[in-house]
Amino acid sequence: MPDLQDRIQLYFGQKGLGCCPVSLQRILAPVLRHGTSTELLELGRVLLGQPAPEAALAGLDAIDRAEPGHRSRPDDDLPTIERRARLYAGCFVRSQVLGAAYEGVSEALRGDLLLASFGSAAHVEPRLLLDELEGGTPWSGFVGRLLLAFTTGTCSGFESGQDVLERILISSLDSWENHRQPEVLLAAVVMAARSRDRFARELAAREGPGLSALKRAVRESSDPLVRSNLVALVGVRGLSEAAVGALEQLRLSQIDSVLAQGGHLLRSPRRHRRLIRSRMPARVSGRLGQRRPLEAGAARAVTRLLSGNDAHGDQYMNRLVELASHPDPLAGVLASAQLLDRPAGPRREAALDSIRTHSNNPLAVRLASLGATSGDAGRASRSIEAFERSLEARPGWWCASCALAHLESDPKQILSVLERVLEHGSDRAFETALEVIHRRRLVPDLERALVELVQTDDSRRAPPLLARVIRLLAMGPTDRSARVIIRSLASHHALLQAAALDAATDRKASPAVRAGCSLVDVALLERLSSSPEEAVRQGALRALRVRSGSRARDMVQRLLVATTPELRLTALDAIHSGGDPELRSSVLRLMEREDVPNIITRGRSVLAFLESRARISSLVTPSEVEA
Amino acid sequence: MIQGQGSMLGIGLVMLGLFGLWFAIGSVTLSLPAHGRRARRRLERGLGLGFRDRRLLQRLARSLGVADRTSLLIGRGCFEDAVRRMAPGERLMPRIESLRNAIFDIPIDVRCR
Repeated sequence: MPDLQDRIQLYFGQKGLGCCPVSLQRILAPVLRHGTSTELLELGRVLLGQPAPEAALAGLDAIDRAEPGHRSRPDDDLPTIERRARLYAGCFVRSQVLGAAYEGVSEALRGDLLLASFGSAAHVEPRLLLDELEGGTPWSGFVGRLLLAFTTGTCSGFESGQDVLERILISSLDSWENHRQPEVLLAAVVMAARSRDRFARELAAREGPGLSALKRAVRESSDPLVRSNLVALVGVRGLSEAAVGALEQLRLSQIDSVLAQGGHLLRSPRRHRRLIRSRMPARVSGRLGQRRPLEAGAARAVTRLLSGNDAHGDQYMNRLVELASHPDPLAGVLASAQLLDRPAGPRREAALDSIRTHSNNPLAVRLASLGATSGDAGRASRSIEAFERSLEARPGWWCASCALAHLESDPKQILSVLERVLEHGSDRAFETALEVIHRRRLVPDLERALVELVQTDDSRRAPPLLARVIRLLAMGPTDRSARVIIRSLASHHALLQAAALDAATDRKASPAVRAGCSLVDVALLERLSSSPEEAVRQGALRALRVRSGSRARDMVQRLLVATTPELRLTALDAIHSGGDPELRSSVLRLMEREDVPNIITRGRSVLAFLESRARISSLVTPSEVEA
Repeated sequence: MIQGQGSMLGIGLVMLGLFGLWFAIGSVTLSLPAHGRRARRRLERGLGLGFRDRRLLQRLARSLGVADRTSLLIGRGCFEDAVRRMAPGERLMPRIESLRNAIFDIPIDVRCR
């Protein structure tokens, strides 16, 4: 059959695949069904030579259908063709599946997804990859992308190990002229940034077009993969200069992302030394002069870059003072620390004093105070003042972290600040102070102040804030807290009543509160369970469940038959949060006679919840429970 | 009067939009099979098949239960099976023989492409 190749060529056209994959499948299916083994082999060979992956897949199918006797002819290179075809065809099938699943995504993204899904099912032979690359076949682009995926770890089909991958990349760089695949350069960049010294040594020992192209890629490429590895590449011997050049050429707006991704690598003395001798500190200083604040990760790295360079000492010290007020607490602390590391002198003193006076970061202020050489009694108090100011502006977790540092050195000061804020502070500061007290477990120290807040009849605090105080009092160390909680049960305000119920039955309550609140009898809780206020009802039912499960169940059943729809709704909510399966029949009975749409909807969801719970518990066998 | 003109304009725009949609859907739908048809025409032209040859080939494809005759142009096994199923008479055999020669045995003249 001398002209099958010509016929296929005619059909596919000059550019390769001249028809859509669907019609290709439709046409080839009868051919594969009726063809002889010789014909199928020939067809497979011809199709595998086509650049389109659809043709490769069909070619593989044709070879698979040929009889084994025909397939193992010693005089041809079919095994190699087959291996190649299996590799690509496997990828192609995945791309088809992904194409169907992610219809509408761009080709590039689909390619990435394909590589990501390329699992260990297809074992990739290193020699095959190199052959494809060096031969400059139509597949070399794909192999380049595959190598990149193996190097970045998005694809796990390569099982020969990191050393072999390094060798393949070195060989691919040697044969760069043959393939010129940009992905190979990217893979080499990633490998150089991540691997051990051996790869860098190999690179440094080489010369030629491959290495020149690699250096050019590092210096000029705007690919995110290169950008994110620039700081790491500063430490790689053969690529250091190119990486420093690239960093110096970055636009001010690009510095943030590069430093945020690789700034932590400046801890390495070699990289640090290399960069502070470059124009990078000046560029960074210029970036800090812009109005837009640096992002947190970049700000931390910048402090390292601005240290150890005395040529522009004054300017850099001013920048460090600015950084001490950065929203990121750690960046502020690092800026203060960098200033402390500088040799003592009037300039450093002035900078530290500026931080102490102007910074709104209590930790940075405290650090600056520690480094003061001249005595100033007011400095420590300034740090506390900064903490007090931060209660107004910062979130609770942040203030709690600052409080931790102060509590170690001067707990009395911090407690007096908190007491002052509880008494006179704004609502915002009050709320933050409550969170600090909760996080640092300061209730035993501030019990008196908290109790007075609730006991005062003309309290100017809003009920939601007072409710939080009552909940905090569950941790109170004395029976005074318990008394306040019990008194709050009779409060006029529903929120306070509900909070008191929560505190009285809190499982984490202190022993004194637990003992004091044992006076709250079940009858009172039952009475409160039918209170007109929903928050109180919910709290009472929760408390009742903690105290006595059977009484809580009886109460819920009574509420389910109550005439008021709100009570029935509360009962359903309580069943949902308790998840008691014995109440299922009661809910069913309620559903039979109910005519309020809200309650019917809620009842259905509660029933579904109870059923799913029952199903899950039936899956756990008794033996598993025992185990 | 102005209101009447506005509604006419709106109706016109809607009609135009519908026509555009119909045109887009139609062109996409028609272009898909046309793509495969172009490739088949190219192959048939390259093999030097005339109108009667193409009709005969289509008859053979139908006897095999295949909608697209391209399969017979590519696979010889496919072609032979189609001939066997068709069981042609003595009058048709010479034409089938010449068709077979044209497709499978005579090397394709490069100038025909």
